[in-house]
Amino acid sequence: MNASENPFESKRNWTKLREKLGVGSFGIATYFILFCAALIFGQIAYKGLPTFFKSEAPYVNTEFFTSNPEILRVWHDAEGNKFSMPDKKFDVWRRDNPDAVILDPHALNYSAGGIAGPLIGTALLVLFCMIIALSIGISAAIYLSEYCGKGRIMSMIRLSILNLAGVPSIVFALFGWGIFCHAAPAIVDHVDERSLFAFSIGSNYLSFQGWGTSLLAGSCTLAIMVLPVIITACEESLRAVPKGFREASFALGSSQWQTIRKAVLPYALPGILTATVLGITRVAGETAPIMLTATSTDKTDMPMQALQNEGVWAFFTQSVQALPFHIYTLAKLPDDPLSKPMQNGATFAFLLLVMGFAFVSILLRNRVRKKLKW
Amino acid sequence: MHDMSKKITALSKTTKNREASTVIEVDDIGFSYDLGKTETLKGISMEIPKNQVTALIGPSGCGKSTLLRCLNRMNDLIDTAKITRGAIRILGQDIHAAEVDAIELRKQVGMVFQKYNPFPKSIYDNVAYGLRIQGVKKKSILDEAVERSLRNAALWDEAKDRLKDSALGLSGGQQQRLCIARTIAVRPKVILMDEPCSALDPIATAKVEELMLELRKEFTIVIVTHSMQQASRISDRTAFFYLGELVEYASTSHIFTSPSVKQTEDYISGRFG
Amino acid sequence: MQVAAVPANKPKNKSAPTFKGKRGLRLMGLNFTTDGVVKGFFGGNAYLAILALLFICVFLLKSGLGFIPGYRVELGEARISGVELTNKVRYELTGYKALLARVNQAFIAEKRNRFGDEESTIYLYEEFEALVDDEFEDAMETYLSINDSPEKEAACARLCKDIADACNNIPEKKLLQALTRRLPELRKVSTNAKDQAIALAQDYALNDAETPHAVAEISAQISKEMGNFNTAVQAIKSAGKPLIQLESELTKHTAESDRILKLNRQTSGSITALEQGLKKAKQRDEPPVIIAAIEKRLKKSRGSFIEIDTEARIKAVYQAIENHDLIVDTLLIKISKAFNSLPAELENELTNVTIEQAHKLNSEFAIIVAKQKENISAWRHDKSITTGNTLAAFFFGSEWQTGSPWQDIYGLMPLFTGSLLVASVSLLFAVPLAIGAALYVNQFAHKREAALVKPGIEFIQAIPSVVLGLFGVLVLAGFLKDWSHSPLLSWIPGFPITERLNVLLAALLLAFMAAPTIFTLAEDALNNVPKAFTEASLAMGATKLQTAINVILPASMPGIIAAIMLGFGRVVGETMVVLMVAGNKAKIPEFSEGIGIVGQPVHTMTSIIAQEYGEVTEGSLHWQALFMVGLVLFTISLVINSTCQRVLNSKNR
Repeated sequence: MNASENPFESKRNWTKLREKLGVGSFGIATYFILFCAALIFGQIAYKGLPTFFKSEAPYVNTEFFTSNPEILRVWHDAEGNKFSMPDKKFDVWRRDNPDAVILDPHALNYSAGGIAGPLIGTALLVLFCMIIALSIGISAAIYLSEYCGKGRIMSMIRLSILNLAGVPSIVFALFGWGIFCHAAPAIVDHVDERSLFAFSIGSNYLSFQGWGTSLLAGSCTLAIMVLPVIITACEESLRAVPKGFREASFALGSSQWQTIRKAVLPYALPGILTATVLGITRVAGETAPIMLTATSTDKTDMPMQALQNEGVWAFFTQSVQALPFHIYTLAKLPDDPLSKPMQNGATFAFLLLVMGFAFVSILLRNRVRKKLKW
Repeated sequence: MHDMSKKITALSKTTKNREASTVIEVDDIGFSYDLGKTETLKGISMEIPKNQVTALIGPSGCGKSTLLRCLNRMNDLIDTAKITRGAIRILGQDIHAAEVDAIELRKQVGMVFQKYNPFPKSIYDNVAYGLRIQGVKKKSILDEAVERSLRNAALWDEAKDRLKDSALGLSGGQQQRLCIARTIAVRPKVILMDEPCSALDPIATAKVEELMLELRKEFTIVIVTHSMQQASRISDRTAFFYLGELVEYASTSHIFTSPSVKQTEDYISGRFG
Repeated sequence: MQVAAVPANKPKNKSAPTFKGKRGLRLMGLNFTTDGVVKGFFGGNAYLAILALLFICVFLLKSGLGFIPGYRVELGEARISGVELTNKVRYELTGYKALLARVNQAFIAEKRNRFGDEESTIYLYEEFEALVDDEFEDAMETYLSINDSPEKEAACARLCKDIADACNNIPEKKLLQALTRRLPELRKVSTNAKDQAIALAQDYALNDAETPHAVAEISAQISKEMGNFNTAVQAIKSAGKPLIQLESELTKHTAESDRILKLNRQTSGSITALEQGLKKAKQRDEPPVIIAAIEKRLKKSRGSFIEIDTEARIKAVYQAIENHDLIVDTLLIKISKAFNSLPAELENELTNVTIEQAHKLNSEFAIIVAKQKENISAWRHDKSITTGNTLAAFFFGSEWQTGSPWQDIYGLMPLFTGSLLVASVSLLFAVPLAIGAALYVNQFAHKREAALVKPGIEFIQAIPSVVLGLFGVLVLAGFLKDWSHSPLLSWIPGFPITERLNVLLAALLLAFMAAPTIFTLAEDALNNVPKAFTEASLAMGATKLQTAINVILPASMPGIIAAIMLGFGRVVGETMVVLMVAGNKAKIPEFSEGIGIVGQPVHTMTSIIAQEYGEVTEGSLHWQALFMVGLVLFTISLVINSTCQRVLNSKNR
């Protein structure tokens, strides 16, 4: 045989070209998606970052993070110089300079101050929502995975919960709005006209009149929305614990609860944690549910004031500001360059917040996946 | 006595070589799965003759499957795999040379796997797959190739009425024979079989073995097997591997009747492995 | 204690006394062991969760389905009172008004094109007149009081110079502002117009006249020059008067009866409630004071019941409608005559385009009229409305109109088609990208590359929709509109886009949201393809691309289809992005425009809920209608999800 003759010589120039083209276009698709993400993120960061900082001493714009949204007053003086000032400062300035000439004054809503109120509102909503959703969700997941068999009814219930995880948030919002805002029971001194029915208990009434647009209604709605996600994810991580662990524990004479506590939960904990962070990411980013159930545009004071002044119940039944809804409100502002810093700053802050949670959840999940190889 | 048997082995080797031309020439090949840190194959040299069945036997982890997968460069798909020394020549061409296209090589060195793996397509599409990816579109050619391959694989009578049915509806043995048909449809020079019968029942195994003896007339077959009986039944030559080294390589009758190395004898008689 | 899950290793409590279970706290005959309590707690929570989720379904069903009988009653009232008929005429009138508005637009565009300079002169003059009044009042009085002629001439020259200086010193920018405030088309101030305006202002100052004669002259000149066009517009305007009259007459007849019917419905509701209360009170032997009070209120309610003779009232409606066919036929003839006298080809591009649009509206109007003529002649007030009619009116109704002074119309079709359109267009972008990316990451990318790219794409999933919406409104909307006007891209059908917020914008943003979802699920599906298939194909000498396309993609098809469907579900259910960027116009998009449909604004099922929840009162028909929309969304998402789960589950097994 002639060794110089190569029977395996490449004969497929056309195929090779096609291969390169095909793989290339798939690669382009991949990086195009990432490029769009980078573009959007970069654009928001580029416009938002200047709001975070300022040119003077501390360099960080602390006011942006510590004060509430305010009205921005804009006017000209006699020489045509342009002035703009937050509402509160303007009052002080006006008192100090009563003779100043003010021409063409107008007010820009939400264009001054900061995002402290919305930030705190979002934090409260997420906090209470997660307290409700986790306490119910984790218990339900433990019950479904550890105590229930694999009967037909149980698998149907599981499937339904899985299906509910994909229901649009606006449907949950509508439900929460109908139930929590308009029909949930509350103990009140005075029965509202819209109450469905009411009992008298002592000097008060138990009235089914709902909690109105409130922190409580918003938290409950978000909790109901995120419940299927949490149950499904937690159950999955519980099921990922090998059966052998449980059998070994039972064989040593442990009871069911001891087995769960010592042989199952510790190993499922990273998974449950991931589910929690995933839930927070989803809840923090939602707008529609809180728009219907928890927020109102005319809310201007901090939520803590109600706690100090009127008590716990008033604290929970007050409406709150929330960052996503604040951004929605800002998006509807008339197009004025002076409104832009607030718009961009708030958006970037919100994006950072949610992306932070998302980052943690992806990091956690990847670690869990790497570890979970029994 | 020992010297005597060695002499005979050498003799049979040379006679065989003279009878059949060599298709595959393995020359001091070394192979590593971890970029050369540890060698899985430690300098194997052997020559595989044309139109014969060559069986590779040995205990698990001895490197026989690794060698087989080197022959059509399937190990290229593992990122950390590396040829550490030596060369493999098929039809006189060093297959790791730069001018060799692994894909062209695989078209001529086919492979049948341990677990039958037909594609989730129809029987016809499975057999025609190899030709189609080579750009054959004409139906008459495809039809003819499918029929010939299925006949060669002794599957035609069972499958001719259900060519359009999913291949996954066949029995295990039939599926494995379909995989063989799929491999021979592109008329390769060499067929590599990686324990082709380990997932089959005895009757299906017998059929596949019968098929191999039939195919030997047209193809050069290299088979990895765990079963001593299978090796003795079907192979012309047998190579015994142990810990990445070729311990003994001779005609099958010689290996099974009078192995020249103690380890081979121990393994064949079931004292270890 | 019962343990269902792991019976094999359950410690046995009963048989041998040495293996007896621990005794817990005994309460009310029950044995509370730690295990029992824990199990009870978990079980309770599980059932609480399940009940809550079940309750959602029940509540949505209850709130939504109440809509159908309620809407049926309203539709019935609208029919008996004749409001339904009036609406049909009103529908025609809307078509006519749109036509008239477009013709007017064309007229104004032409006028401004031809006489822009003159018009800006007039507007500038008005600005200057104000300035002269403010600044030169004293100077003017002084000047007018001078009688001596040479002195007067010098004063005249001085005043004229001052006025011209003052006028010229007004910055160009301010003049521009003054002009664009009134006429956005007049972006430039020609020196000619300015000089003339200054001259007019001087004339005004010197003569202390009212509007100078010249101004009136210019106006008259413009009207005269527009000649034919002007008469055509006036003809179309006057031709519509009978139709407007007919509509107002019908409204007069029908609105009153509709109002009374609605009032009576309320009254009869409260009468039934009071009657029941009275019955109960009598049964319970309440004190006579209370019974008397109830009886009094009952009497009052019965008294407020208004007798209404719908038959007599409807006769007037029938009488008025008799002329309808004649009126609209005359109208059509008059309009087409006027259109014939419109100038055919004008210099101004904008005018031509607008006239063309008016022609199109005209033919549309003719179709509307033909259809409504049929509808009107077939209309009978005493045909009863069945539940089937009501369901059809809701699910196939082509109009969603709320908060109108007349009858609210709840037709799902505009929202449904809007949702579907936005979702399909977005999938058109998202599916190729996402599947391509999934194939790349799963089949071709280097391991380390995949480990970076995959979380990167998953990361996108977390971008809040409101942020994307804001990005769409502030950045992408402007870009898209500008791009669509660039001549390089004019070959794309549907470009240029006239609406700032439109289907395409929403679809692009939604595609960006759906792509990660589809990517993740499709990548999972590709991953689930047994490695043996890949090996077999590669061993046959197939390239990686051939393997991916011919073996792996077909083998993972069910999973990929499920991924696409779930992506679709996500897009249909998305609220904030469509609310912010889809344009919120509750009208069935015009499919006749072909691909240009992506440039239209739409409303969707999700955004209508988010937009209108604030306007409804609890329990009203509108409230129920929103729940009905929610129910439809809920059903769609459940169907999609359960189908996909079935596909994915069967795959895993």
